[in-house]
Amino acid sequence: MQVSWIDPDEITALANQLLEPLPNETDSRGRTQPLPEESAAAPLIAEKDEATSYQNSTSPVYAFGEASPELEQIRAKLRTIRDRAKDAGLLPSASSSSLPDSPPAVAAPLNEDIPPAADKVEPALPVSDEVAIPEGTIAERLDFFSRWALPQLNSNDFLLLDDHGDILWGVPKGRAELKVQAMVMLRRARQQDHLTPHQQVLHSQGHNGLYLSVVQTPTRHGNVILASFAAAAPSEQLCTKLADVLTLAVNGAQVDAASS
Amino acid sequence: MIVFATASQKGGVGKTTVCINLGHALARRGWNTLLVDTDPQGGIGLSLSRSTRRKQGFYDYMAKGGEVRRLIIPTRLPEFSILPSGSAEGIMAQGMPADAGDKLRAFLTQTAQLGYDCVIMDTAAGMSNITETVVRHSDWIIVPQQAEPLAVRSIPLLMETLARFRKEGAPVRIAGILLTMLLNTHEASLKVARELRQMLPPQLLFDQTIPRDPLFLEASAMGLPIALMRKNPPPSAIIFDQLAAELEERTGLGDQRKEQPHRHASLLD
Repeated sequence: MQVSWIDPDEITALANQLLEPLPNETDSRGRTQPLPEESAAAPLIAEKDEATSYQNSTSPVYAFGEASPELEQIRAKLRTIRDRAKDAGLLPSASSSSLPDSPPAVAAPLNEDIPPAADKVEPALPVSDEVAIPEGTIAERLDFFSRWALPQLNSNDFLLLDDHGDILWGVPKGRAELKVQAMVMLRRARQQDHLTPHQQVLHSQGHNGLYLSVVQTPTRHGNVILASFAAAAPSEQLCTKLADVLTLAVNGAQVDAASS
Repeated sequence: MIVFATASQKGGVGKTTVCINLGHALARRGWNTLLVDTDPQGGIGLSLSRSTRRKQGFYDYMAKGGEVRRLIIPTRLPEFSILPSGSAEGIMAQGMPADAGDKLRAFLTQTAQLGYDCVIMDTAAGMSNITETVVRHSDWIIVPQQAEPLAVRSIPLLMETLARFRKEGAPVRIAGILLTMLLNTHEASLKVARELRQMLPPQLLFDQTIPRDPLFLEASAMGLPIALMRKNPPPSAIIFDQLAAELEERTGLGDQRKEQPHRHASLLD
């Protein structure tokens, strides 16, 4: 005796209707972007000579067949912002570094020969309300971010780390203590449930009198952690701004910092 | 990016439990996953702090627009993010805006640009305006259904609704009906499952079922994935890993991995 209070014939008829191909459907499977060759949580630093293919994952794909009008508007707006930034001298000229928005084939270099932004001869970027992340490789974007962030933090000591403590950006030499203290503080906070998903900033004052600040932010490649020593702890507003700009530098987009 | 939505005619069938656990399982499998709560009374944010429960979310976006990324809450699992329901009072009082479809499309466009592979949208029971809008704009629908003799009466009603959407031009596809709260010790529950397998083509019914388990109730009350209920995931947590794998097969999400037969994980570096 059937126990389900439904009519088998009705179910069969409805099932046939739902299994009919859609009018414009050529493939019954979903339209999907392929999973990147490495997991989204993999560190930004790729193995030598191994390109990480994020080609398709950087391009917007949600569309019923063709690019939406909103996408074209967004692209036009980004082009306008880029042109204004170039005119203002915030971006390098087209002949030097304006590359198409290509996916990061090689992640931020871990190279002890590359000094942090503060040690370079060229001056840091002026603080402005509008932060236009330049197009280019992820290394160029992070270089831009570090030149913008260091004067904001009033610090020469900063590293970008992933969840495992691997350095994604910065000079590790002489900054082992910063890395270790940052990861210890972060892990202790997580274990004690002091760092909930919505809380992204930690501060503590070290025995050296400097303030250790840790800002974590989610990106398309996983959590990125900014760790820095400074004479004073950055304000909550600054930390929010740092997280937003860092996210966009990693993901590759533009932001108006004043709107945060 | 693939957009999944849950849909059911009646409440209490396990939509939210499925969304939380399936989203977590997909994220653990490497898919950058966003879980969106479109249920005004949704429980996805229960485990978050009180201040986070007051955060803006989906309904605030539908009312006022803005940047989706500011509404997203990261979790300890980098590939898993949550976007809470937010404040639905305004929309509940005034009704959904006329351009709800356009706003939802813009919402999903922003989400795709943020690099998400999957979006899972938990919906309220029934087919309210917002649920209908979400279902019409999703790629695949997951239909949680209690394995009980009376409860399955809602299946033909929902199938009829979805068939109507398709006739009206919405590209609705069913990933499968997912039997939930299956009581393996009760003959009536098992018989319902058997009868549905006989009536429905395999493309419309998930192989995986969700058993009735006290741990699911506990996890559901806390709004947490079952895999996080204990320090070591309990055995029942693997159910959603299997469901995620089956979903990949059904929807083509796993096709990329199949096209790379020689790319396998290494046990050693």
